Parts: sequence; C-alpha cells; structure tokens
Amino acid sequence: MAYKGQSTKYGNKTTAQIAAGLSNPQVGDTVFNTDYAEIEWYNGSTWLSNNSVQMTAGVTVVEGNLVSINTSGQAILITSATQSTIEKGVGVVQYGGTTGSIISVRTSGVAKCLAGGAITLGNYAIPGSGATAGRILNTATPGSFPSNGNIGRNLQSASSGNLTYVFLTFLDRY
Amino acid sequence: MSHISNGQDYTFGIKTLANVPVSGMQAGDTFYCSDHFRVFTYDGSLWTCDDTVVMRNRDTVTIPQWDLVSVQNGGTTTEISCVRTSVFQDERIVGVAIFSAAVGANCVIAVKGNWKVNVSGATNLGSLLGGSTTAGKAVQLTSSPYSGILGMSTQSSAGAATITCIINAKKELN
Repeated sequence: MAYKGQSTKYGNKTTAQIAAGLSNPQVGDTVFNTDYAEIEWYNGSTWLSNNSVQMTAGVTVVEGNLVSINTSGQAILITSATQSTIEKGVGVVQYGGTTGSIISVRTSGVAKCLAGGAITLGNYAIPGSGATAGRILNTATPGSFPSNGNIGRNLQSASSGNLTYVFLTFLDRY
Repeated sequence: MSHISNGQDYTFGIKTLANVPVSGMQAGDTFYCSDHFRVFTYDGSLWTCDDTVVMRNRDTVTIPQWDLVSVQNGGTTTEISCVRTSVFQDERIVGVAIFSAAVGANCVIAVKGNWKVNVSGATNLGSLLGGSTTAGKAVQLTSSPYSGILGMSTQSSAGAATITCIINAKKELN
C-alpha cells in the first residue's frame, strides 16, 4: 500500500489550531502537531501524544501552566519552587480547561511553558510564585533543590507572558 | 495490511488493554488502547508502546499485572532482568508490569504515562507512590525526604487494591 505525507486524519496542525477544535473527533483519531513534531491521538476527551498524560483540572489552567497534583487527584498550578509544591509536580499543560475538565499535561521531552518574566536561552527554568504562579522564571545556575527547584532548561529566549520551549527535567528526589 | 492513514486504520482497531489481540498478529500490527491512550505495536512476540520497556522476569513467581518491578541485581550481559520490588522507596524501580509475566518470560513494563499499579494498603488521591515491603506492591509515601518515586495516585483505595496512577517520566534526578 502506498504511503504519503499528512497521513493523519486531520493533517498538520499547531497546538492552537487543535485547541480551537477539530471537526467531530472520535476516539483514536490522529493529528500531526507541528509545534512538537508529534502525532497526537484523541482519547475521547483530549488530545495526547507519547509525551503527555490526561488529568482533571482542579482550577482553570491554560497552555504553558506548570501543574502539580492535589489531594483530589487534580491538576493545580505549581505556586513556588518549595519542596511541598514541586514534589508533586506533574508537568506542563498543553490543552487546558476550566475546573473539572479533562486536560492534557506534557510530562517529558519538550514543552511550551508560559514565561513569568524575561527568559534567557540556556538558563534553567524554575517555577514562579505569587503573580507568576504556574509560570516559569529563569536562573543562570542550577541552584540547590528544593530552595530553587529546576524543572528544565530553556531552549529559547522569551519575554514575559509568551510561550517558550523548555526541555523538561522534573526532579523527584531530594 | 492496513496502517494508520487518513482513516486511522489501526490493524486491530480500538481495544482496551483487557481485550488486547492474542492471535493472528504480525510484526508491525497496531491497535489504539482506549483506556491507556497509547498506540500499541506488535514486535513479533509482544505488544508494546512508547511508554514501555521490556525486561526478563527473573523473579521466582509469575509477576502479576500491575505489580511494581525493579531491576534485578543479577542479569547477564545479554539480558536485562527484573523482579517484583520489595524494598520501601526502592530506588531501583523501573515501572509497572502491564501484562502478567511468567518466570523467565519477557515482562512489558510501563515507565511513564496513565497506567495502574497494585498498592499494598489504603491510598489517598494525589499521593506520591513508591516501593513497599510487600512484594510487587506500591505504597503511598507520606514522609520526606522521598526517593524511588514511581508517580502519583489518581484513584484512592481503602486497602490493598489496583488503582490508576500517573507514572513519572523522570526518576532519580539530582
């Protein structure tokens, strides 16, 4: 059988285009996400790749938010780099939603994170707090966990409020 | 032989893990696993996906489905072997057996993603999970410092049970 490009049902789409909604997706349907060069599959509720997991939102979350898991098993914003918050860090929201909705969270590889301040290429990404909760800030040195918990390395520079690629390296030992 | 195309023609269509095809497979065949959100591929002898690795069961008993396994201290230069974990916060855990595996047989082990795990006792939602002293069973971790973290529970239990969980993609990073 001949094989050709764009062999997914919905062809090539960006995360934003997928999030805006594709026509009548069914379980097992496929799309090629051009932001990540990955095939994603619709599971009936959200779009997942081999680098993401399904969760239920405990608060409204958007693409690029850093999330952890709460005592209800739901995704909530990581609000600081302290041990008690980052120890249950899961990953970065790819397809967000309001409280109670099914969302997609990237847990490995590369993820687009929301910048809480100016981001420098090559620096370490750390969780923000307060006004920058759920976003990343950056530091030039890795720091010592948990007082400065790193979640990855910045793959590009960015301004505050923009999405920026980070290579995820969540820590779970300290 | 059909393949993923604009019609998402998985060889065996959409299946739950409990209904994985057991006959008539050829290497390269596929199905979409609707309860764990991954495309499985048949390698000629085993069904695997991007979340899994394969190790040889060198325990003294069949490893049950959803048991937590760790790297065996033995093994050979041509074989990577596993056993059920029986160490609290075992730092050598690999992941969870997604199919049962007889002694000496290959064991397909999930190392990331939305899966299940057998726990040894009562487990709260959103708990960190790690190895327990009960062979093959995980336990919720309640006292830091933590090590050997498998992931987090997305289901609770009143006692020993099989629960859903998110298996962390990264482990034991400093």
